[in-house]
Amino acid sequence: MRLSPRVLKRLQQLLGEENVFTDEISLALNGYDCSQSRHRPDAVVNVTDSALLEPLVSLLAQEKIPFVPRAAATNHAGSCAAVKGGVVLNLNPLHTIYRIDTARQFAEVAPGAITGDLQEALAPLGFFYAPDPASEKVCTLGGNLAQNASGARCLKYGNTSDNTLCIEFITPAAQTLVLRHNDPGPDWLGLVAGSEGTLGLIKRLYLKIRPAPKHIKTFLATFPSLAAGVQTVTDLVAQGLIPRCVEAMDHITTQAVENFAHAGYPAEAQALLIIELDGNLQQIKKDTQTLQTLCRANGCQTFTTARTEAERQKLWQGRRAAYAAMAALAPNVAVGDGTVPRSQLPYALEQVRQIIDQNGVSASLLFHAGDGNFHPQIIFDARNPQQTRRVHNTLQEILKTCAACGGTVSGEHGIGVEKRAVMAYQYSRETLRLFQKIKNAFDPFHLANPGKIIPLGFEEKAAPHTETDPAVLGMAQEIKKRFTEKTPSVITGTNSQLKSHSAHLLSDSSLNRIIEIDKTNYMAVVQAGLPVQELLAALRAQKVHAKLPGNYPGTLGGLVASKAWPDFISQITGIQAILPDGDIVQYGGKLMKNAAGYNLCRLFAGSAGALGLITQLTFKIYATPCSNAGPAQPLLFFKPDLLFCAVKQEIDPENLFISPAFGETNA
Amino acid sequence: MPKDLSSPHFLVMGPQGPRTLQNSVDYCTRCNACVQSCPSYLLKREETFSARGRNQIIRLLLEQKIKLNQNPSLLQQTAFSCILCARCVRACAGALPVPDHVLALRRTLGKNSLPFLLQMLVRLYGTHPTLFACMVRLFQILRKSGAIHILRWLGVLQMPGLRWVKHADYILPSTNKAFQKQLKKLKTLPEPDRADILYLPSLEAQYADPQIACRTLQLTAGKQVAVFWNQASGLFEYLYGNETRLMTQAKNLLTRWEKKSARRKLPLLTDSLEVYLFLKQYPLLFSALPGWQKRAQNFASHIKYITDLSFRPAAAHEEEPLTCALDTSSVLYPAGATAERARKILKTLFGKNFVECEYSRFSIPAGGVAFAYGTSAEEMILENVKDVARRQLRQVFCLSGWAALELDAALRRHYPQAQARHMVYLFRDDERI
Repeated sequence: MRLSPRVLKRLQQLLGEENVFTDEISLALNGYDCSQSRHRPDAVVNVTDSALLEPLVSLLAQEKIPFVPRAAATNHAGSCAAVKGGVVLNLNPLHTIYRIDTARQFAEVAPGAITGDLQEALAPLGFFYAPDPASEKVCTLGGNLAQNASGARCLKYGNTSDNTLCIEFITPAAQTLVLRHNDPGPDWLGLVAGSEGTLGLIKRLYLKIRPAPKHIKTFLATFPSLAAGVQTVTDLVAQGLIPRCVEAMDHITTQAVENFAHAGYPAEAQALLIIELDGNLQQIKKDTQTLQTLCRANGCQTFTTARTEAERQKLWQGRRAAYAAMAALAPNVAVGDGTVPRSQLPYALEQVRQIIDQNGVSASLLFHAGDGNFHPQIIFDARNPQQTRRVHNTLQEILKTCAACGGTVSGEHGIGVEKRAVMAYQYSRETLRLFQKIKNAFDPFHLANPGKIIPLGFEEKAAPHTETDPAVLGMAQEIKKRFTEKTPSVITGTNSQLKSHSAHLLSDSSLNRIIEIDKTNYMAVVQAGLPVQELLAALRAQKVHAKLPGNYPGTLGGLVASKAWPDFISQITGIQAILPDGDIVQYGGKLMKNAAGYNLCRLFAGSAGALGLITQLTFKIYATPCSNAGPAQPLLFFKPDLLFCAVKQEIDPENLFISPAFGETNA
Repeated sequence: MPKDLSSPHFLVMGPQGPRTLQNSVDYCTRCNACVQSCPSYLLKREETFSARGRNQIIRLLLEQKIKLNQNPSLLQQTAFSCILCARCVRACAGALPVPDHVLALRRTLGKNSLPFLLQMLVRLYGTHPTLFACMVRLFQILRKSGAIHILRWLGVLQMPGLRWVKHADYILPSTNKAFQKQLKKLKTLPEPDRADILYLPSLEAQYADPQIACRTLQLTAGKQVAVFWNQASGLFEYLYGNETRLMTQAKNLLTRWEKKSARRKLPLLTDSLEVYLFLKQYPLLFSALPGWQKRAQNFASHIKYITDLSFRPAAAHEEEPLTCALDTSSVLYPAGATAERARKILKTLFGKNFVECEYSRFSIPAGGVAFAYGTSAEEMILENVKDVARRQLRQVFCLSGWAALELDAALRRHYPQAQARHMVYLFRDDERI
């Protein structure tokens, strides 16, 4: 598709002639990122002022021209390749850090601001921004949110979405919205995070900043096996000791890195952990003792403490050089980012090594041991088609293994165009259909970064959802029946905050099982109809805790659907729900990170039963008591906004799930 | 001049040894780690002006996805907005020699790479140094007579081919008696029969600031010095010119060094960081000529920069030392150990008044290599001036003569409280020459 002279003229009038490029060189240079994807756009525009974003998107919407937001283009997934042509929006000129407010602990930045620049600006003020993707010196904060990037510190401080307070967001229809996590209704900000620009553009970000820890202590521990290393991390988390970061390497990687960077790692170590603790001195002292005890209990071979800053930097030197060690060996490096539940890590890594060996490719294996995220770095020469195919197959098999282990095909890099096909390994046909509906609702003409995330022909490629729980199956059948009969439903729990008089109540009280309290991964899987008080009692009996309100009278599903305890929303890592047409959808699981697809946990949180019936939730639990004082918030009445109406229209066009929050009409 | 980038002659030297251009460019994984270190990108914020973009342009040219004549002006801008500071090399995980890639592109772009007059000057310097000196003299007379001001007033210097003159005007010193006297004194120095050290003065030391040569000679006090006047190292041909002429100049210098030093293998001293780094690359230049390579390796191991000598600028600073910083920028590869030694010297001399400038933008090269595209060079130099002002520095010591001259010219215009000097200015000039 070539842009017509009329459209080009309009673009030039809006942005200035010097900021619109259609020459072959500029087009070719804006059609790639760190992945293997290369797609030529039809035009490239420099956005020099954020005030121009809205009229620009409006112009493109009027002309029905696809657009691809592009900043540093450091992603490994082909997220900013112009698959369908259109206009690439170069957001790099918007790199201003507008404001740093240490009193209220936030920073206001433009989408093209560099993560490293923000860190540099915060350091003299004694503050820091928690997410630390490996590319932080060059990646942009807008890109971080679009990919929901995380990093080594994510285990303790959460990912970009968790550290974003508010954004100004431009929908593909050129409407500017201010999104916050705690606004009434679904958590749109949480949904937009990680959407890779497919739902719209980020215009401005307000990010959470934190006082920098006064003391940081770094340790290096080696173990006779990967399993022992991972068990140590699990035990640490179980003790309520969340390290600042836990990085790990297997035997082969340690040797490769040591040969390259000479960081002083013991070359014979089968597993190597770099553990970092932060906080006040007393706390670190106490935690160090716990850490040492646990390491010893798991057969730790060596335990080294960095005494000085120079020693600390030396310990990190090897880990940081891991990519360079591989990049120097071959023209191309394919980096995977599959994530599995922590307990599955030793098994998954063993499988991955086997796959790598079977396919005859060379790869190093790094992993964030705390969250089950691992990075196979496969080196190859893209000029050799056979080798490239082998690498491609290897990555597919690795990601298939991740999905089979209950994990995700992407923990932090996103899906883009490169991992679109493997989404079908992880998600059922119904879930992918819901992703498609979300995209349609936000962007009916598929203008915002089209052709990403959702696999082509997923109806054939993805398997249908298989459900074994009779209660869920029963509920799904009932909803399907009502869908066929066009009978509306009002979802209620055991103690709904809003009393309904509808003749079509649909209670989730039959979904009241605790499916699993997993003390290895420190996750609980619970059906949504279980009253919170019963759940708390069960957790207490198991000597574990969750960030749940102590006095909430309703069910767990009600708590989430009404956003009555906002702190809990960020604790949810997996969700299962039944849509108004009876389809069962499932997202996430016992995963600390998931950057694959749209975050359905955030969509259903606060949806007040209007988008679907939550049947099951997976959430984090802790060995130490959590703060759960204070009353739960009442359900906030909210006027369905344009976004809500659009999503509702896609998911429930017949308006069969009627939320009490809007006042039912079918009583 | 080769028109084909895929010619095997384009060898580049990375940490893994020599590679063909195609092979080297293919090693770019497009991770973009280099982007925030690229001065031209930081000014423009466009992929076309980034290190990654330049690599990809060459790759696309090699893959014949784009053609040299498709958008020559953009290719020119891309190739010449790179100031070869090699900061991208330091940022790159695979340490790809991006400046070498850019140089290959510049050579392929051919005769249009520099304005005609400038191209002629570069050529003259290597082939007819006396004529070159006359041209410089003519330029100085023009300047003294005010002709340049008239041309500027008439707007002639705004014409695309002549923009560099405006820029060069700031650097070339006006002809004055002291300058001429000093130059004459230097050029009439008798050559010793048996030298202990050989000195290759840089272009700037010979024509723009003879003080650099004077003070460098002070460093060698007590030793017999043979000065290689009008001996081109090939640097300018390497950066802007013709490969045949480059090889001729390199061979000439190498042969002259061998002849002069006989079997003693004397050290060859240079006052320019650029020349020093370039001479160190001679083995790569001769990698295709087996007979010469060993000789080039031997030659490269005898190259010395001023900080390699015992550097004792005693009694030069009786007055209160002013706040100073070190600018380590240069063309080609990072200074590394050379900069470290210079830093130590300044730290010892200035103590707490020495300001460490780790801020990324400060190391934007102030060198004159970008004067073909004066506008972007001007913007970069202004960034430097801003940094100097922000830090309230009073002195900036540079390892490169061009960097010192350009930065000093800019400081004189925008921030006269500070001045930029070559590192050798730590010596007084009233001592022996």
